[in-house]
Amino acid sequence: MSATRMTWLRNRAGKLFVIGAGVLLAFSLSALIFAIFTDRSGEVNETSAELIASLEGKRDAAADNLNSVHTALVQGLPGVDLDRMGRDTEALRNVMLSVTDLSASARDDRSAQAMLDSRYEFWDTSSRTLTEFVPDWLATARVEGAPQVYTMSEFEPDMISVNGADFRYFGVARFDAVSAEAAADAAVSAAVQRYVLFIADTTAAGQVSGFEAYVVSSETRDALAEAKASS
Amino acid sequence: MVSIGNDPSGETPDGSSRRKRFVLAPDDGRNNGAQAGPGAVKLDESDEQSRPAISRMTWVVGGGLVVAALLTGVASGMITDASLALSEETISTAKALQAERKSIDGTAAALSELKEIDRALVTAQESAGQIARLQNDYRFFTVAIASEGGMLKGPMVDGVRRNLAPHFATDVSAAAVNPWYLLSEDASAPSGTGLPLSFDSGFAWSAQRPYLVTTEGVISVSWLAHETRPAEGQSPAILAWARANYDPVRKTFSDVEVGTTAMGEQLRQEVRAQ
Repeated sequence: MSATRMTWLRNRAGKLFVIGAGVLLAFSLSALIFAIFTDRSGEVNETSAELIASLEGKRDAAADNLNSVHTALVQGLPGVDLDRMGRDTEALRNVMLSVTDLSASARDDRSAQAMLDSRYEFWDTSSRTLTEFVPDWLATARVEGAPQVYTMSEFEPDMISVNGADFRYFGVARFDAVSAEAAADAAVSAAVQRYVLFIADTTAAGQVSGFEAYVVSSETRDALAEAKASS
Repeated sequence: MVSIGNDPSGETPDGSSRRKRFVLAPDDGRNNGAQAGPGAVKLDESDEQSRPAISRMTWVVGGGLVVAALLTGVASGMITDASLALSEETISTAKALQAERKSIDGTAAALSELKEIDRALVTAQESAGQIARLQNDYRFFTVAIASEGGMLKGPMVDGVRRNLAPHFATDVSAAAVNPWYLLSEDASAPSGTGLPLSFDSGFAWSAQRPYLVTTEGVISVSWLAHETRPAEGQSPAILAWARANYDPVRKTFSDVEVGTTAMGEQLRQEVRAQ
């Protein structure tokens, strides 16, 4: 019986072989057509996005870990109150922004001084911020062409003394010009960056109780801009 | 040839053919025997065995189909691979992110190994105070430096510089151990005194107290140079500042940044490096 089956297979081997090969070819042809005509760029983009997202997630997790290690390390240090320092930084940032806000006070020095004097209580007649900084800041902005608009791009006060509940901060804020023209040659010209030195005090209630700003010399500005560009 | 003639009968459905063969087998044998004798049967069988099961033509056609199938299979595989490959940009971004994470992890590991930060803050402040004193010592040479056209030289100056050097990392620029700021007004101080105690400079450096360690594990310390004789009714102005990072492990300062305010720059005594 198996012999007859063998014979039967023998007789049809050629046909089966050709049919099998044909089926195989049909399969691979359809696979080829599928590969050619289906757009898988979406799938690739999705894979890339997933990969990048997962790596970013890991990077962010590492950064979070670094921050928590840092917070744990710093929290117990004498005089350190991170929550308050965060609030103080925000309060000081607001003062710095209104002191350097040229759009609101560009009309003339006197109106700018009057506006700031009425808004904040901590400046008195000996204040250099109103009498020296504001006119200086406005003058240099005018000298450098049309009223320049700056955005404060760096503001990191360092606490330099604790006196009872009063904290004192020091820092050098960086301002970048935002006009389209200035932005275009920002890479080559240091003139589009300005630095302001500040020393400020805050009280336990989170009030700013003192604020002095100084225009940083153009020599230092150029040196800082150069150091920043080369780093 | 008889066997080829037999082929069509084989195409009939399985069951019927088997039954037919089974039923007809003895008859067949008899017929064969009657017609051609045993020899003929033998000859027929050997012919069937010697004839290849698959003809050359079939081999060529089938083989061609198989080869074509393999080629298209490989081609479609390649196309799929190519279309699923990640772009260069994605790969470089991924590498950058991995490197970034590695460096953050390294910083965190180094930070968690820092011990006794409170003590490091104290030593940083002590070192900063000594730097401020040495920078203040440079003020005594303002007259000499001004008379030399701003040139910084002399054994006394070298002495101060030698004392400053150990506080800084070896790779800081020479400017860190030179006078950070000198007041031009000091150059017209009564000459010939030469005595530090009788010298009344118009400004002074003061080291500020550090309270924090950065996430990079260094302590950022600031110095401020302020007027000592402010105009009446005015608070002392800031003329210059300096900032540097104190490494609690190496116990030296690096990344020194020195700057002047616009006012300080106007009142500055120029100093030229040797």
